[in-house]
This record gives sequence, C-alpha cells and structure tokens, in this order.
Amino acid sequence: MNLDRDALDRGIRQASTSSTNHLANLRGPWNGFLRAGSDESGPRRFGRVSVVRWWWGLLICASLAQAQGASSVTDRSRNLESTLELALYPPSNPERCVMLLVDPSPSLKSAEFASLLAAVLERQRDPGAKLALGVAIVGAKGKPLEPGADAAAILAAVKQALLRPTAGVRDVYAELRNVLPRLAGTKGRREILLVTLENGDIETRLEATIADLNQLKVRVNVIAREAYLSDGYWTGSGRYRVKAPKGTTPTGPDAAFIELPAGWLFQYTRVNEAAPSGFAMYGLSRVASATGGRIRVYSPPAAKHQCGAFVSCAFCEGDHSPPNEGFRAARLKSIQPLIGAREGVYKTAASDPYFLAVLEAWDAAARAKLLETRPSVRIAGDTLALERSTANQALQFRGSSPKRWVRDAKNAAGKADKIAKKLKSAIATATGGSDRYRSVAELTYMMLRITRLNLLYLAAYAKEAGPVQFAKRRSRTTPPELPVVAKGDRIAGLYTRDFSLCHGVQPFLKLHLPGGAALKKELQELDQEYRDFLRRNAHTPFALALSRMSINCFQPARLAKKGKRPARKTSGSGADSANTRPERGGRSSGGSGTTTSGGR
Amino acid sequence: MLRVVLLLICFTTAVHAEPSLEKLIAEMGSKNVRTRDFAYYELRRRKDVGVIPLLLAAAPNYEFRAQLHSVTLIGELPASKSLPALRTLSTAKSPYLRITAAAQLHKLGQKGVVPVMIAALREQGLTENELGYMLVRVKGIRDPGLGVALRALLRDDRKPSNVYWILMSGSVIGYQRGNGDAAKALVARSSSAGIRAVAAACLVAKRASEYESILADIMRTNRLDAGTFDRVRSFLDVGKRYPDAVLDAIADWAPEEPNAWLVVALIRFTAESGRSKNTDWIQGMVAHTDGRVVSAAVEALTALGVPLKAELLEKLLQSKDDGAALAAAQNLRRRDDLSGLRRAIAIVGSKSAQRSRAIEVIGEFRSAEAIEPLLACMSDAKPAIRDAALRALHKTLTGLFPYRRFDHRLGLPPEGAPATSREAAIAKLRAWWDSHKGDGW
Repeated sequence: MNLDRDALDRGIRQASTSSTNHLANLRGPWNGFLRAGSDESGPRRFGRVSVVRWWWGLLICASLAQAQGASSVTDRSRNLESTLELALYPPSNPERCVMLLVDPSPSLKSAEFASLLAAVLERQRDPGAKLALGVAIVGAKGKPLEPGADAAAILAAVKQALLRPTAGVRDVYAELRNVLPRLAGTKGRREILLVTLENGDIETRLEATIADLNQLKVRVNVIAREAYLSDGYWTGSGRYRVKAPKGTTPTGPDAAFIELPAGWLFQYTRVNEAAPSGFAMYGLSRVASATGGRIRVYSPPAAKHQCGAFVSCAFCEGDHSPPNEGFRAARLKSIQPLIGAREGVYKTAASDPYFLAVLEAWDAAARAKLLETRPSVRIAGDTLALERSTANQALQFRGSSPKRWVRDAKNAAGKADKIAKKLKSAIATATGGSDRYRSVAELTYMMLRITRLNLLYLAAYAKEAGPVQFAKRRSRTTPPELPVVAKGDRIAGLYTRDFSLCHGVQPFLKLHLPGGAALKKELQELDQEYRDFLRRNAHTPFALALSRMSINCFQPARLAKKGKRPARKTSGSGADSANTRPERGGRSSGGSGTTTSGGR
Repeated sequence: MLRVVLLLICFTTAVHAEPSLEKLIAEMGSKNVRTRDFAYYELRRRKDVGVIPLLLAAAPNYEFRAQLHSVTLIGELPASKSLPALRTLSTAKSPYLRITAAAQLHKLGQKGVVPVMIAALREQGLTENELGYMLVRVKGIRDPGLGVALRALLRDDRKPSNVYWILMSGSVIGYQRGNGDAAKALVARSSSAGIRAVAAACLVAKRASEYESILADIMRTNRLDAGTFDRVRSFLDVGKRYPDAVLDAIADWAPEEPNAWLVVALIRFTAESGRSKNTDWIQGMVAHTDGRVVSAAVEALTALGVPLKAELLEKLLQSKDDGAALAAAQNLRRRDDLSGLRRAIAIVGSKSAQRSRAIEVIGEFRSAEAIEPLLACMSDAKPAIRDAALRALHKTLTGLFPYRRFDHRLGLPPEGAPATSREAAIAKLRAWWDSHKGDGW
C-alpha cells in the first residue's frame, strides 16, 4: 500500500484542531443544518433566532451522533429465552406482523432454540393476540410460513429447520431482502426478527437492503452473537478458513472496517480475532439501527476462562480468574464502534488524530516486516478507501544460524522502538479524537512494545542459549535437566512458545530468561506501561486483547529421528468443512448488564 | 552339586510363579475373597482354553459371585471354544449362571437368549444383593421383553436398595429411550421420597421441565440422604440440567443439613451449575465449623466468580483450619495475589493432615520460594508425600526455567530403589538448584 504521508500529516494536524469531527459526518437533514450553523460566511447566522436554532441543532445532532454508536441499539444477555421473549413481545406490544428469520446453525440448535421458542409462545398464549408471526429459514428453498397465529405451525417450521443444522456461511442480508415482500400490505407494525448466531459477516448490498426495508417501513430486530474485536479472520493465513459465496464481501468486525494491526511477529494468536468485542457485527448493528430496531447480543452461559486462545499459560493450571476480564457497560459505551453508513465512518476515522497515528505506525511496522498485514484502509482525500489486499511478508527467522538472528532481531527491535516512540508522542499530543481510536492507538503501541521485547529476547537467546542448543556437537546436561535437542534429533529451525500476558507482565520478572539485567529493565518498563494501559482500558475488549498477546520463549525446532513418516490423514472434505470457522476464544465473564460476572 | 541346587531353585520358583489350572479353579471356589479374586485375575491373564471343562464342572458349586466370574472367564476366550460352553451354562440350574451366560451369548450375537434372562430374573428367592449383581449383567441390553421384565421389578413394595438404583440408572425407566412412563409412575406412586426424587431427577434430565418443581418440593419436604442425592445429582449432571427451582431448594435445605459430606456435595453441585445468583448460603458456609465445608465453599465461590472479600480471605488464611487456609491461598493465587504462599509452605513443614494438598498447592504457585521446602519433602518417609513433592517440584522448575527441559523424575530413581541412591539423586538436584538459582536463563 502506498500511504499518502502528506495526507496523513495534514490529516493529523487538521484533526487535532477540529472539534466537530463526528458531527460533520452526520447524514440526512441534520447534516445540512449543522453545516449551516458552523458556516462562518453569513452574518444572518449570528441573529438571535439562528443562534437558538444553531444550539438546538447542535443538541439534536449530538444526540444523533450518540445514536450512531452501537451502544444505543445494543442489549446484552446470557439468557436466550428472555432475549427471545423480549424481542417477540416487547412491553408496549402494539399490533404487529413479525417475520421470524431463523439461521439454522449448529450453535442455535445447541442453545435449544426450538424449545425456548415453544416455552415463550406457550407463556404468551393469548386469544386476542396482536402478534401475527411468520417463519422464514435462512438458506431454505421452500416457501416461508406466512404470518399468522398458529403456534404449532410456527414451532414445526423452526424444529424442522433445526433438525439438520448446517454450519455454512450464509448471506443473511440477501435473506432479509427475500423476506421483505411477505410483509408488504400487512397490518400493524412490520418487523423482521433475525436470529443468527454464526452469520452476518458476509455482506451484499447492505445500504440498498436498508433502503428497501425503510421503504416498506419494516423494522429489523436482531438476536446475534458478539463479534470479535476488529476481526479480519478471512485475511489470515487460513486458521479460520471461509469461502464466501460468490458476489459477497466478507466483513467480520464490530466496526465498519479492520482498525487494528494484526499478525505481529511471533504471536500465534491474532489477538483481535480472539477477543470478543461486546458488540455484534457491523452489518447487523447497522441494519438494526438504520431501521429503528434493536440488536440483542446473546452470549452463551459463561465458559471456563482460558488464559490464551491456543497458547499455554506459564503461570496457572487454567484456573485463573482475572479481575479485568468482564466488560463494563459504561466503558463499552465510551469505546463503541460507529454504525453509521460506511462512508460516514470512513470520514470520521480519516479525521481522527489517533486513528491516523495508528495508520502511520501500522504502515511503518509493515514496511519493517514486524507483522504480516498492511493497513486495511488508506487515506483518500478527506476519507478512507479500503485496500484490496493486506497481506505482508513478515520477518522470517529460518535455518539454524543464531548469529544471523541476533543481527536481524536487533535491527527489527530498533525499528519497532522508533515506530513505538513516534506513536506514543502522537497519542500524547493528539486532541479531539475519539476514545475508541485512542484505545486502538494505545493497544497498537503496546503491541509494538511487546514485539520489540520479543525480538530482544530472541537476540539474547540466540546469543546466550543458542550456541549451546544449536551447536552441532551438543554439550551434555546433568540431572535433572535433559538436553533440549536429543541425540539423533535434527534441528529444523526456530520454535517459539507463547506465554500469554493474562497474568500481566509482573510474573515474567520471576522467570529465568535470557538477556540479564538489561532485559529485566525492559520488562519492568513494559510492566509499568501494561498497568497504565489497564488503568484506561480495563474491562474493555482492548484489555482482553492485550492480555492475549504473549511473550515468547524460543527453542530449536526438533525433527524426530529419521524413519518412516506416518501417512497423512486427509481432513474432511466438502463445502461445509471448508466454510466452518472453528470456535474461538470467549470470555468467561461479562456480557450481561453493567458488569460482568456472567449471570444466567 | 551347584547345578542341581540351581535347577531345584529354578524349578521351585517356576512352580511358585505358575500355579496349576486345577489349583486356581479350586481357589475360585474359596470363601476368602482375596484368594478367589487372585485366582480369577490369574486365570483371566492366562486366557487358557483348558479352563473350560474345569469351570463347567466346578462352577455350579461356586458361590454366586464366583459363578458370575466363571462365565466372564469363559466369555473372554475365543468364540469357537466359548460358545458351546456358554450354551451349556445357559441351561444350568443356577439363575446366576443362566443369566450371565445368556448375557455373554447376547453379546456374541445370539439374540434368542433373552427369554433365558427373563426367566432367571423371575426366579423366586433371590436376595436384593444377588438380584443387583444379576441386573448389572443385563445392563445395556435393549429388548422390549426384557424391558417389561425389568420394569416389573420396580414394584411399589420394593424398598430402596441397590436393585432400585441399578434399575433407575439406565434405559429401564426410559431415560435414554421411551417416554419415561415408568419414571412418571414412580414419582406418582412410590412411598419412598428417595425413589420419587431420583425418578423426578431422571425426568428433569430428560427435559421434562414440569418435574423440576416436583423435584424441588421433594427436596424441600424430605431429608434425602447423601447416597440418594448423589443419584439425583448424577442424573442432572448427565442431562446438564440445573433448574433454578432445584438450586433454590438446595439453598433452603443446605444450611439446615447436619451431614458435612452432604453439604459439600450440595455446594459442589451448585458450583457445577455455574449459577452465580442466590449464592448467599454458600457465602454463609465460609463460616462453617467443618473445614471441608469451608474449603468447598471457598472453591465453589471462586469457580462461580463470586468475589470474596479480601478481609475474609485474609482471615481464612490465618485460621487454624489448614484446609480452609489452603482454599483461601488458592483463591488468592487465582486472582494473581501470591500472599497465600507463605501459609501453604508453613503447612508443608508441619505435621498437618493437609500436607499432601499443601504440596500440590505450592506447586501451583511455581515460585522459587517453594523449591527448598519441596526438596525437603523429597526425603519424607511417606511415599505419597515424596510423590506429590516430585510432581510439584517438576511443575515449579519447568515453570521457572522455560528455556530448559527437565526429566519427569528430575533424575530421581524409581520408587523402591535403595534409599542411598535416592539421597544421592536429591543431593545432585539440590546442587543443580544452587548453581542455577541466580539470574540467567
């Protein structure tokens, strides 16, 4: 990506002085009103009436600006039954015609959706019901069940769909458009209740769908799962494979685009792909908010805490109960993603000093080969444009030459240090940016610091332990030790073990690590910065993401003794296996209410 | 001469190591359980087809448990040899031999033997204990006729016994298949609160939510014993059902329950449910007089994510009850507070009954402070303590030195080796630690 550096610098300067960034991006009639109010050219704007109008406009726009954040339309719960009941029978309960659009995924079946629906319908059974309920199934070829009051037929349709759930990737937005004609000409308030626990991240014609829904005055309520923070799983190296249907665009995060740099050196887990965000996917939140509906984020009952997704923990037996993991609603609100139309979000981000600083750091880090992604967006005038390809070649530490690694690692650590310092100064001087992008910038800074430390550890390891462990003639060890490379084993390169930061940086100070006093001092500094980060970001997805970063331990990668290789097992074939995204890390707490201890 | 002596020694050793089949068959009929079990396991190990005619002759005279063992032994031999013998046994006079042989034949694909089992179950004069053993043999056999015969055993006049629990644990009352009519009948008719509770739990596990409140009522109005609650719990655990009504009934019941073991079971069940509301009663148990209850309560509250006050944990840490202090130390460690390590180390150095657990706990801290006390435990007279210390030390060293690899026995000889070699290995281990405990990888 060729980032326009002048545009970036100009953007940072302008954004620092602008106080109406968010308001300037509001769409609709209020946009013009605000522009009129902020325009400096006309003397009439200083008249009494116009000043009052200006302030009213500002107030209303401010409230609308608030409404553009995902918090204003998002409710969270760990109880699917009450969520469903509230969505189908809101307290006001006016006369309504609701189309229940069910995405028949395995997780919906395991949540026992059909029996919960049966319980809700049984409880709310009322001869004079004002609700006409129809059922449509995402991906089904048959005719949907027309809205009516036949509870048995509704249940039968849902049960039938969940008999054989499928884990495929499905475009729920196309299904919304398909269902729309069924509601044309119906009485009462028109609604679609979309229940999808695994989809929503494949988009087609999102804004056109919203326009169609608004034209028919159909409100969309959604029950969905939490998205992962700034999730870009489809850009990864294949850990979470996805085969998007033809003509669709994969999107995944809670925000309109990928905001966080991912794929840092030595990190097995892309933390933003394993940290739940507290909000649903952007597309779902956008549809619900733009049609006047609500999105209800359902988190399954609290799972067991894991210190890291796919990595080991050096400090516990998997029984850790971290104090900062649960999300707090107030903090989530301050870092909520914007869910206006993408153009508006791009403009807001393009004028945010924190985000522009992140973009610059991300680009520099990609050039220094510190991570395997390039920025997902680029500056295009006063807005952003999506990059088509974001793959980047990160540094490789191959072979078995520790001397070369020392040189490469030290060089890369120096570059990481420079980029981190520049980003830190940009964060310190920026004014007027949003809390979310500030958190994004702070997390990016911490990621750079951790990458730098890992590079320094690699250099120290290659210098101190490497000559012993990689030597062709291996030195003998005395009990209780065993040689790291056993006799007859071949060395295939460098192997890294990830120890997650879930317990903080402090416990690493007690470990016997290479690098001596110099690196211990680096660790102490990182510990202080980690604590500072938590002071601002605890109980948010950003803190959770940081806790899933890891400090690495290096070893020679051993190949077993020469012999016959076992036959390679072929994995299950077929479209479904290719489309399935394996279950990723979750939170053991959080999700319902203001805090977090995971009530049911 | 020396050769003759050696040959004699070899001969007598061989004779001692391999008792004859006849001797083992005779020992199978012994009234001494150990002798009988030894003979059974030895015959099982040998898998000698020569045992068949001997067993066919001896089995009818055995005690009923030995009869059951005899059929198992024959059933494990190659089918070509065992099938005729099993057919013979399925016509024996003894109902135990008949039912076990029929069950083995059924396992080998001979489905026509079900009437033999049914007839054996209808035999008069069987004790509850004998019937229980026989029921275990037919468990898992799915046959409508057998199902009817088994359900017939669930008579109203039968007192709660092992027979009842075996019948209620499987498909007999319709847990795995069927509509659960037998269980429903038991809930409606049985005069025993225990049986009603277990049957209701079976139905709750089968997603019959209307029985949740019935089960809760039974628990509230009757004092279930620990065994009965364990059966209720196993059904609910298998079905992953933790209804609010039942948990509320437990919350009412547990504070009044005098049996500490049962209270511990109730606390653990609530913790298993993951429901963090209405846990006041568990918090109340932290002040219980029995250390086991206190430990279980602290562990449950930790698992449920219910925050315990720092002052309370501090108080528990200083309490005389070692179990409670260790639970508090664990709770604090899980929250990244290592202040409980000192107390755990003190328990390791004491003569407390909780020493073994304390060693396990300090191993989980992975702290250099724990290494000296653990090294001291390596020379303990009790093998269990030495074993726990070895595991804890291995965990601590691998945690503290991530760039090194350690032998899983840390260079110590296996259990049973002479004490001198053990002491020498411990001295080496200590020397290694002394040379590596400074800075560096």
